[in-house]
Amino acid sequence: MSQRVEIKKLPSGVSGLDEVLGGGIPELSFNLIAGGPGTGKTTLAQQIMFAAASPERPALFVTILGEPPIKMLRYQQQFSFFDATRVAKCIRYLHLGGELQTAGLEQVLTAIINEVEATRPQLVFIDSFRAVARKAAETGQMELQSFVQRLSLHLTSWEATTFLVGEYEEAEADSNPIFTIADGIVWLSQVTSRNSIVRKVQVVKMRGQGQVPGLHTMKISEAGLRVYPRLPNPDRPTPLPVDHGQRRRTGVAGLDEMLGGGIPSGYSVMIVGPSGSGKTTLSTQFIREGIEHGEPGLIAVFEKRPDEYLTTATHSEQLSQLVDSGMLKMLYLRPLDLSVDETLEEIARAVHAIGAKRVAIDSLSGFELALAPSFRDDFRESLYRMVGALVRLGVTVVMTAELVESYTELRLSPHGISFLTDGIILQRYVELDGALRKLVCVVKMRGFDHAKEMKLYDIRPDGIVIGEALSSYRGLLTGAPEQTPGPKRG
Amino acid sequence: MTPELAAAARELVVGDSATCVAANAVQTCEQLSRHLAQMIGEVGIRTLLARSATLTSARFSWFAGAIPKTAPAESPWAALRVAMEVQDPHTARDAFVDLLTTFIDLLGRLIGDALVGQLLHELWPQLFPSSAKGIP
Repeated sequence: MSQRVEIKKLPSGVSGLDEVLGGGIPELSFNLIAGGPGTGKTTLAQQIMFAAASPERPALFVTILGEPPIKMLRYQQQFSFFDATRVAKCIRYLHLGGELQTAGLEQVLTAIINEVEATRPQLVFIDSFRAVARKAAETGQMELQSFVQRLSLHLTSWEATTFLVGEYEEAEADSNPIFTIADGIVWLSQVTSRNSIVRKVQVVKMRGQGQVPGLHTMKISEAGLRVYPRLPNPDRPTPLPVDHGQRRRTGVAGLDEMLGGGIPSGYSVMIVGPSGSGKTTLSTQFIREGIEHGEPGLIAVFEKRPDEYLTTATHSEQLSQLVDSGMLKMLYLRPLDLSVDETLEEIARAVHAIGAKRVAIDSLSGFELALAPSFRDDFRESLYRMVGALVRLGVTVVMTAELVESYTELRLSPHGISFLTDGIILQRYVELDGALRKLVCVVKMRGFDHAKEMKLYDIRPDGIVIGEALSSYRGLLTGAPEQTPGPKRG
Repeated sequence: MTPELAAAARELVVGDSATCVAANAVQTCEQLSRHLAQMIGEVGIRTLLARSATLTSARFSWFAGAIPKTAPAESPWAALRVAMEVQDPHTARDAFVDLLTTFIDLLGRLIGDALVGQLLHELWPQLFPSSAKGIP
């Protein structure tokens, strides 16, 4: 007889949190939801309660001092998960502030146990447990430890999954007995950087299951909390798509020739060039070419609204029709406090929605600006994670990046991010015979041979057309080349 | 507060004499307080009832101070009983129904009519037969 006990997992009702928890909330676990003021502790507790409670699994929400219950009810019902019709049926509220003030911990423990024995809830929430801890501090820590142990034991023996909600500082984690006794600790925090606030959630521990480590971005909206699991998840690598390495034509015949047949499938390629060089034109041609061959495409834009973007794009009318047909999805991500995980989730959702095979991100500068300052500070890491996760979705990605023309040096990207992508296509202005011309070259295409020469190109009403190679010049990348001795061009 | 609900509330405090009406009013307050205190605490319920009494005193001036914010634990409704017993039974009854409807409206403005209906249905199913307040 060595059958292992099966720990069932309850749904948290918070999008993204179950994945971070390692599958959900372990049944009968004794958990702590901790964090500073305003981090969303009570909202998380309520959201879990409304998601997990049912007539078969009733819930008890005990309030002890902290936020007055009437105000909590007033504010919590602004969230869409709050269902007043379930209150006093499968969800009961119990206020024990008076007991704590007039009697003490013993009285509070007795009241909780009596209520649990009478109503047999399978979910018990105690908010705020901090008030209990303060009361314990008046009489010594041992009483708190004893209180928590007895509470944990009673509630587990009555087969209740328990959540203590409390305001704690990180420094307390080492000394407070609650942190030792709890089976699970969910820590909420918020980071302020300049004018932006980024909310984070961390599953510090979750006994019996493998949580996803690290800080995960979280948002609170009218729907409640939403967690964006930090990606890529190192424990669950997604295999690369089976057609990885096959070529995706760009829609620019001459460029496909330079690339040796197109961009390898599943690759991430950066199109780098100065303002007006045709980066957007090339990326939309790449998307359009895919759609013409039955591959739905996605364009994520940050600076312009989709309608504005489509109006100014080459083949704007055709692109609009493709949007209407469902083969092209325009994703507009403008907020200035985005996290990389949130961006990726939005893109991933859109990719899955239309079965996209090609994605264009236009542009990386816009993406950087849309990120919250705390993510901008480490843009390379943000982009590294996003690029890795995107190609694992099975899509081929092109990203446009602004190249600042200095004419004396070549910097492919302002953040040193060019090594993150599999390929780089460089567009450049060059002065030839007193005229400003555009040239393109393939700087790298990891693992594949490609043309090394630089070729002139024009942007025509029907798109980019590659011209002749400039083999009789030197110093092309400076923008002011000199002709090498030999037959004169043209 | 609908006229139907006000009429139903009158049934809670029937009585031929002011003493009888006052006794029913005190009993109603005790029931209400006990029921809601579980959820919003004794201090919370007492504070809301005291505020409702202040609002009611705009129409029944003798009601001012009938429910003080704090009261002795052994006789929390003594002032209410005294204030009502010296009125004629009809006035006492009207005033208490006013208090009750004011309280329900106040609570509804704070936590929403749906939740009020849900909570008070347990206590007074005849007043709140469905989960929504004011739909008897």
